[in-house]
Amino acid sequence: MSPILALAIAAIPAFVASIVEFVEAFTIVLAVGTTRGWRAPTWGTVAAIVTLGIIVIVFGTPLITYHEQVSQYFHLVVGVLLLLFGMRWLRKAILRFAGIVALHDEELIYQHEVAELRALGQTPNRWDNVGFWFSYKAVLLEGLEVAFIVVALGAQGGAALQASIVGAAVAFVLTMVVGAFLRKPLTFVPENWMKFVVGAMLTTFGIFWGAEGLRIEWALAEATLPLLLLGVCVVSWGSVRMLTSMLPGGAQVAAGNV
Amino acid sequence: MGFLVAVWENVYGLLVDDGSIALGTLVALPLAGGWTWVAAPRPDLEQLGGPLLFVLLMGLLVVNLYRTGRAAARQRPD
Repeated sequence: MSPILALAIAAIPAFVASIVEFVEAFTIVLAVGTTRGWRAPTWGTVAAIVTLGIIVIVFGTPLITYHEQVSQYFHLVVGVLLLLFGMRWLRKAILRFAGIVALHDEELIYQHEVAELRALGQTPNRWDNVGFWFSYKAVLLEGLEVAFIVVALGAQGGAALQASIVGAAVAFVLTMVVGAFLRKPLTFVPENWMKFVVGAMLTTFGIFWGAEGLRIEWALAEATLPLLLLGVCVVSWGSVRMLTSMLPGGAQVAAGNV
Repeated sequence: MGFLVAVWENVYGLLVDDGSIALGTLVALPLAGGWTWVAAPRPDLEQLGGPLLFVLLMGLLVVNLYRTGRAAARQRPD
């Protein structure tokens, strides 16, 4: 595989997935900041990012160090993890496109969080534990998905890990800068499209690497990747059509109920 | 404790949203691997292992979505 393609495979899904997750985290941090002040949520966000960095180092370093020794099993494990994760995002995105599951509404989530935080009351002029932990949890829990993707995609080697970390870091900075400038939930971000893109890419890489881990050879080698991606997109499009014909008006079921 | 539970649920939820997809994925891989092993004497058939894995996984996804659509139709108030 060409080095540039390998780096793009690591950086692009990490960037797109990170935008989705950090937009969701930003909504909660914004709700905390506007209702309780910005000092505690800022430190909560910094602490969560440091925790995520430690997670990436702890799990990413051994994968790279022992990459060569366990190359075949390594491909299989990474392929399975990417498949499980990618199929999950792909399925959810298809259900949202078809209207079976309600779209993620950042504005609604923001209003809900603000109401909850106001109900907890204020602690003026003192360190705000509630604000710190609210932000820490939000950024850490959303960021775990980012950390997983960064490690899985970056596990091809040191350069790939750097590329996926850069992709995630750029997404974080971009989300925070745009969010700080606008001071409102980032509802304009097409989260479902981005989830679909990441789901389709991870499923494609998962099939490719999973098969390689089973010693299956692809006739076209790396040139198979765009064909697999096209196949995943065609199946997804067909699935959306199937679901919209089954439920023309959609169902708007809560995400946890399907 | 509640925070640790949330972390665990999130980590588990990273990979398993719908159990049948996760289980089906874990079954499809050995099936494709088994095909490659059985078809090893015939290189033309052996090379179908990858496409077989793709078909199995996409079939799994479509069947799962169909079942989810039918379940959602039953939940929808008329």
